[in-house]
Amino acid sequence: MSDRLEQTMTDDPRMDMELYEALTSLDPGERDPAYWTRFGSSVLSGAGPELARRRALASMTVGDVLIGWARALVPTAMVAVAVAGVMLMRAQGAPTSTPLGIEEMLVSDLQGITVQHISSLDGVGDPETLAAEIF
Amino acid sequence: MSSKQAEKPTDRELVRRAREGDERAFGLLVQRYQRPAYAVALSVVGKHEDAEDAAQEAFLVALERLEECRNPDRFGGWLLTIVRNRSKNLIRRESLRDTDEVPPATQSKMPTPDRVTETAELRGLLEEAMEDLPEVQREVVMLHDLEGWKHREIAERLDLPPGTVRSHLHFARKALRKALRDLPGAPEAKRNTR
Repeated sequence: MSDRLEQTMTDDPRMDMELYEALTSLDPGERDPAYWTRFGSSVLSGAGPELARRRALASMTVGDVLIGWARALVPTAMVAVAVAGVMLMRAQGAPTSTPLGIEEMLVSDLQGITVQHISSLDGVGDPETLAAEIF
Repeated sequence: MSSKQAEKPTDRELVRRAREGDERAFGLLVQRYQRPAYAVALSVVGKHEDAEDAAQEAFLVALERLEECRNPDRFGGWLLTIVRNRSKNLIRRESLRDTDEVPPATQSKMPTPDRVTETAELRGLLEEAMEDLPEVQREVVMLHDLEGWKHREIAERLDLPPGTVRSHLHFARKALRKALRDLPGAPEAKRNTR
């Protein structure tokens, strides 16, 4: 406390003892000399887990980080491979559908109407006749 | 003394080590700033218990957010900003509580064992006088006249122009001196010292 008083007085010669003493009465360390020690200990006790986390983080090497990643990635990749394998096996056993071309789909219901038939019609050059014949 | 000061680790160094979880470095930061943190908290909340809570919480928040302290040389100012915000949050939380509780103003006037001694009485009077000061003036006068910070340090850490700090200090002191002399309950000895 005397150090602080000395510093304060040096900084501002107009400082008066009355005000200093009055303000000192607000310092819990004046009433209880162990107050600030307890205050610090309490903060450090609360900070323990965060400091430990930081220490653990700081001590990690690149290898640790890679191993950490591998620990998460390898099992995930293995599960993905297994799922893909099961799906492929199931797909092989299932009946396969025959792919249908677009041209075949377009003429699938047009019984008896072939290109030769249409081209033999009169007025095939007329779009309206052609449309009426087909639809 | 100067060689001793030269050996003292800087805030930057302590912050760097605390970021790595160095308990001793963080302990030194706490030791260095616990009193100013408490003073600022008390300036905002006005009650010892709340000031203690706010200051302690602020240190823990500061540790968790240490990476956000962009200029570790100015750790003190950054910490005091957290202290101020935590203190204001505390007031907000308290104001939201059930108002069945005794209002703080009434509490401060209730006779408690602490107020039996002259020092306690003076403390009570001073707390009342401080309540009438603007928050920034309370902070400035506490940091300067109680914690012994220099104008320049206060200006840097509270992010205020040095002239403004002097002005706040001047008006705060004037008001406090007047309050201490004029308050009817002020101890006689204290009133006659000037």
